[in-house]
Amino acid sequence: MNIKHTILTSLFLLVSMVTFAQNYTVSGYVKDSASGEALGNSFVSTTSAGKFVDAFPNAYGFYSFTVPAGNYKIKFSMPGYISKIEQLSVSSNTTLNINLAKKVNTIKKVRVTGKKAGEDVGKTEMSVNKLSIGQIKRIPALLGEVDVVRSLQLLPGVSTVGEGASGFNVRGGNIDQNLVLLDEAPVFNSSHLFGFFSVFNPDAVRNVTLVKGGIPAAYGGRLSSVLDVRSKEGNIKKFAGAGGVGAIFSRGMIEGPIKKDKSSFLLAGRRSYIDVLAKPFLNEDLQDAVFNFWDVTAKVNYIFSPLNRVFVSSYFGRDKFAFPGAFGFDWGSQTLTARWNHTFNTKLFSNTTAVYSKYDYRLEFGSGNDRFDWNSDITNYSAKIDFDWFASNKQKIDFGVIGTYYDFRPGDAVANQSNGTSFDFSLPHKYAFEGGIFIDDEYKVNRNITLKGGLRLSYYDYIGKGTAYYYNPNPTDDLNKPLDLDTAISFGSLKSMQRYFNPEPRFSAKFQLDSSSSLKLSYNRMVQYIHLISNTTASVPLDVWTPSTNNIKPEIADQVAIGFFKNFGKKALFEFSVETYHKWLGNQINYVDGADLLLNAQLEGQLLYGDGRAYGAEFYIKKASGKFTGWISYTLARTEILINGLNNNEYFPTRFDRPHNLSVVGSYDFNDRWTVSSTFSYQAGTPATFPTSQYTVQGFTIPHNALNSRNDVRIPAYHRLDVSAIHQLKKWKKWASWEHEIVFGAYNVYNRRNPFSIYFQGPTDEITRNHAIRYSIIGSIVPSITYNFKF
Amino acid sequence: MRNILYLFILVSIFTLGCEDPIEVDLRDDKKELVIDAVLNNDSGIQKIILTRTVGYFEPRGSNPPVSGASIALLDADSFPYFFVESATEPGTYIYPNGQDFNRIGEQYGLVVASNGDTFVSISTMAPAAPLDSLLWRFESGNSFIDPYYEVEFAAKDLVGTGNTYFIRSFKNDTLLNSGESANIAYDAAFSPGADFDGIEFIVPIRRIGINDFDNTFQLGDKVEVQMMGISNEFFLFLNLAEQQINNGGLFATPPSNVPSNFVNRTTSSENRANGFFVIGESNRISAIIQ
Repeated sequence: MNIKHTILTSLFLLVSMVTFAQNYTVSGYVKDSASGEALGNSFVSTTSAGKFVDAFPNAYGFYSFTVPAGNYKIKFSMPGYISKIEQLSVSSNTTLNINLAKKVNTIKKVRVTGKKAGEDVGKTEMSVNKLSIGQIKRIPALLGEVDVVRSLQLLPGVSTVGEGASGFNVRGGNIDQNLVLLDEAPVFNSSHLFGFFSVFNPDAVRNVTLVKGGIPAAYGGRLSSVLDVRSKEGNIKKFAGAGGVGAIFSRGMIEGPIKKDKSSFLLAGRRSYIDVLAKPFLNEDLQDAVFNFWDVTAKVNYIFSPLNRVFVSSYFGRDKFAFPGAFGFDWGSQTLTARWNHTFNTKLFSNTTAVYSKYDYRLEFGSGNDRFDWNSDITNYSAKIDFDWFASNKQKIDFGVIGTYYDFRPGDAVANQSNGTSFDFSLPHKYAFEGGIFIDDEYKVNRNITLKGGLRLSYYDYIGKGTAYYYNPNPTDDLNKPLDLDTAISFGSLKSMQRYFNPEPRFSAKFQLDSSSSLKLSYNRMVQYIHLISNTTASVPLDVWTPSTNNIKPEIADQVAIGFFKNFGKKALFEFSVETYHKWLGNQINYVDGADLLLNAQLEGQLLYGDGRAYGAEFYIKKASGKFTGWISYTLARTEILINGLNNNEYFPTRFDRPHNLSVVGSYDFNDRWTVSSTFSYQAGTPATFPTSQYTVQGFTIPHNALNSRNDVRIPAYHRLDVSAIHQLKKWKKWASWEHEIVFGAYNVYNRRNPFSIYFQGPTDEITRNHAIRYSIIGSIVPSITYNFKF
Repeated sequence: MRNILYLFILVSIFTLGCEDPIEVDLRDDKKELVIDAVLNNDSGIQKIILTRTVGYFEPRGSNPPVSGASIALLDADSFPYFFVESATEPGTYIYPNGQDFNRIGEQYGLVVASNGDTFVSISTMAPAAPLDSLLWRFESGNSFIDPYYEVEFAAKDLVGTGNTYFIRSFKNDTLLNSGESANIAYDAAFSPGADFDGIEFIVPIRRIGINDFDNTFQLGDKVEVQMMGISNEFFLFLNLAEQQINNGGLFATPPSNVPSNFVNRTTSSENRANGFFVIGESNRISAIIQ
C-alpha cells in the first residue's frame, strides 16, 4: 500500500512536473517601425524563473525562444532605437512581431552603431566586425564618397596593398580569399575605378559584417574571411529616398511599398562623371576619352503570409575606360538573388536562395578591320537551403546544403588584321561544381560557457567539357621554370576530370569571465576551390579566376584564434578586445618568373605551389555612444609564404605583409548641425624586391639582384590623415520631410605622397642614369564637397 | 600580351599616378661575371663580350671588361673555334668569320674559363625564317610626328611549332635599339600557346623595332632587317629581360633575376655567371627608301 502510494505520488509528481515544465515558444520578427526593414542586429531578452533568456535574431530579424507558461516582460532593443518592453502572457506558442522606432535625435543624424553596446562580450562569435551604414557614413571619405570596403580597412586585421588596389586583405589572406557576398550572391570583383570605390552603393546597403575567424559552417569556399553585405529591403510603409551629388559621382535611391505592409521595392543607382568634368582640361586628342562607371542595385520583396516571404535582389554595374577608335576596356559584375524565407513553426526557420553571379571584362584595341577583341568572364549559378532551428534556449542548430556550378571563360580573343586575316587566341571554357553540406550546433553549457561545433563537408568536381593537362616533372632542381606538357586528355560534357572532397571542422567557445568580460577561442578549417590568377603588384580587373584542376590543388587554411573581450565604463561605454590568431595555409599559388597568365592554355605549367603562415595580434577599443564616438585599432602581424623555386627556397613576406597597422577614427557631434570626423591610418610599408646591380646583354641593360631574394626590403610606411565636417542644412518649410546635409572633406590632409611601390628604371631625358621612382597613386590633398539628401 | 599591359601602365599613370625620382639605399653587392655570347653565321667578325656587374646606380656602360679569359666554341664533333681577346677592346673576344658556324639544328657548346671558374653552356643552332621583302608606305604625320615612311618586312614562319626568332633592324647600318624592347617572335606571333605556325608574321612583329618615332625613315635612308633563329631559352631570356626593364606602375610583377644558361663546372666555386649563350642562323634583307 505504502509502496503503491509512493508510486502514485511519484507518478503524480512526475505528471505535474511535466505539466509545469510545459514550454512554449515565442517567436517573430523584429522590424523598423518606419520602414518595415528587418532588424537583424537587435537583441531580445526576458527573465524566466530568475534566469536570463536571450535571443539574437537572425539576419532576417527572426527570433525564437522557449519558456514555460507564465507572464513575461520581454525586452526588444537595438542600438539607435527606442527599446520596447512587451508584457506577454504565454500559454501557447506565440507569435510576437515587434516594430521598433528610431530615436528621434537619430533621424537627423545617423547615430546608429553596428552593435548593441557591449554585445561582443556576450556573443559566442569572435573575429567579427560589423559596420552599419550609419557608422560608415561618418568616416571621412575620399572625394566625400563613403565606401564600404574602404571603411573596412580601418578595422583590425584588414589591410590593403595600397590605394588603387582592388579588394582587401584579411589576416594575411590574398584578396581572392575573401568571400564577398552581396545579398548572398558572390561578387568576384568588388571594385570600381581600380579599387578607389567598391561596388556597394551605400544608399542601398543596410549593414556589413566581416567574419575573419571562427567562420560558421554555412560559409565556405574561401580561406580568409566572409564579407556579408546586406542591402536594404525597401521601405514597406511609405515612399522614401536618398541621394547625393559629389565631385566624382551622383547617387540616387528610392524605396517604398508596392502594397503597404505586403510588398516593397528599392532602386538605387550611381553614375560617375570624371570624364565629363575632365574634358575641358584634356588635349584635343584625348577629349573623346571615356572614363566612368555606373551601377544599379534593385530589390523587391513580397510577404505572402506571416510564414512566407520572398525577396529578389539584383546588382549590375560597369566600369568603362576607352579612347574610342583606339582602345576600350570595360568590366563589371551582375548578380541576381532570389530568396524565400519560410517559417515552418515557431522554432524552425528556413531560407532558400537561388543565385546567379557573373563578372566579365572586355578589351578592345584598334578599330574597323584592324582590331583585337578580348572577353573573359566567370559565371556561377548557386542554390542553397539553410535552416535555423531554435531547438531550445540552450541550443541553436543551423544546417543546410549548397551547390554551385561554375562556368569559367578564361579568354575569347580574336585579332583581325587589315589584310583580312584573323587569328583566334580563344581558350575553351572550364567548368566546375562545388557542393557542401553544413551543420553548426551552438550549445549553452551553463551561464558562463557556450560551445559551438560545426562541420562542413565540401565536394568539388572539375568537369568537362575540357582538357586535363599532365606535365613532366621538373628535371632539374631549378623549379622556377615552366613545365613541359606530357599528355593532354580530353573529357566530354559533364565528365568528371578531377574530384576533391574535404571535411572542414569549425569550432568556437565562449567563457564568460564576469558580466563585462569574456574569453573566446575558435578554430576553423577552410578550403578554397577557385583561385584568382594574378602576378601583378596589385590585383587588376584583367585578372582571371581559375578552377582547381588535376594540377591546381584546393587551397586549405587552418586558423586558431583566441580573444579577450571586455567592456568598461558606465553602461559599457568602452568596448575593448584583443585577439591573436595563427593561420596555416596550404597549396598557395605562385608563378614562375615570366609566367604568361593571360590567354595561355598551358597556364597550369607555369604555377608554383607552397605553404603560407600568418599570425598576429589585433587590439581594438571603441566608444560607441555619446557625443564623441570612435575607435582605435592596431594590428601586429606577419604573413609569409614558402615557395620552392623562389627566394632560395626560404620563407618570404607576401606583398601584403603589413607588420603594423594602426587606425584611429573619431567623430564629435558639436551640436545638431555640425559633426566633425577624422581618421588617421598608419601601415608599415609593404615588402619589395630591389635590384643590387646591373649588366648589359645585346644592348639591353638588365637589373640584377645578386642575393636572388624576394621581398626582403620595405618601401616607406603609409600614413594619412583625413577630416570631414557634416553640416545639417536647415529644412525647407514647404517640404519638411526633406533632410539634407553638406559634407566638407579633405583626404590626405598633410599632402603626403604615400608610395604605392618603388620601381626602377633606366635613363630618361631628365635623369641620365638608372634611378628609383616612387609611385604614388594619390600625391596630394584631395578636398571634396558633397551634398546629400533624404526624404 | 604584355604589350597590352604596357598600354595600361601608360594610361593608368596618365590618369591617376604621381611619380617622383627618389634616393634609395641598395644593399652591398657581390660582383658577378656577365657573358654576352649571341652568335650567328653572318660573314665576318663574331664577338663575345665579358664584363662584370656594377652597382645598379652606377652609370650605364660602366661595367668593367673582364680580360684574360679563354673561350672556345665547340661544335657537335667537339671541334673547337677559339675566340681571342681583341687588342684594342679589352673584354671583347673575337672569332674572324661566322660563316664557319653552319651546322643548323645541331648543338654547340661554349666554354669560358675566367679567374679560376669554368662556365659551360649548350645551345642548339636555330634556323631563321627567310625574309621575303621590305615594304614601306608614306605616313603624313600629325601634331606629334613629322611625315615619315613606315617600313615593314614580309616573311613566313618556318613550318613546325616552336620556332623562335630575334629580329633586329638597322638604319644606315646603325642598329636600332631602344634598349627597352626586343622584337622577338614565337612562330609568327608573340607567345606560345596559340597556333601561329607556318604563316606570315603578324603585323606588329613586321613593324616593331623598325619604326622608331624618334628616328624615322626618310627618302634615301638604307633600311636593313636581320632575322636570327634563337633557342626557346633565349626567347624566354629576352622576354624576361624586357619584363624586368619595363616593370613599374600598377601592373608591375615581382622583380626577379633573368636566368642565365651558364653553369659553373668548377665544383669548389659558388660564383655564378649572368648573360646568355645562343647561336642561330641569320638572314638579312636591305633596301634604300625611294
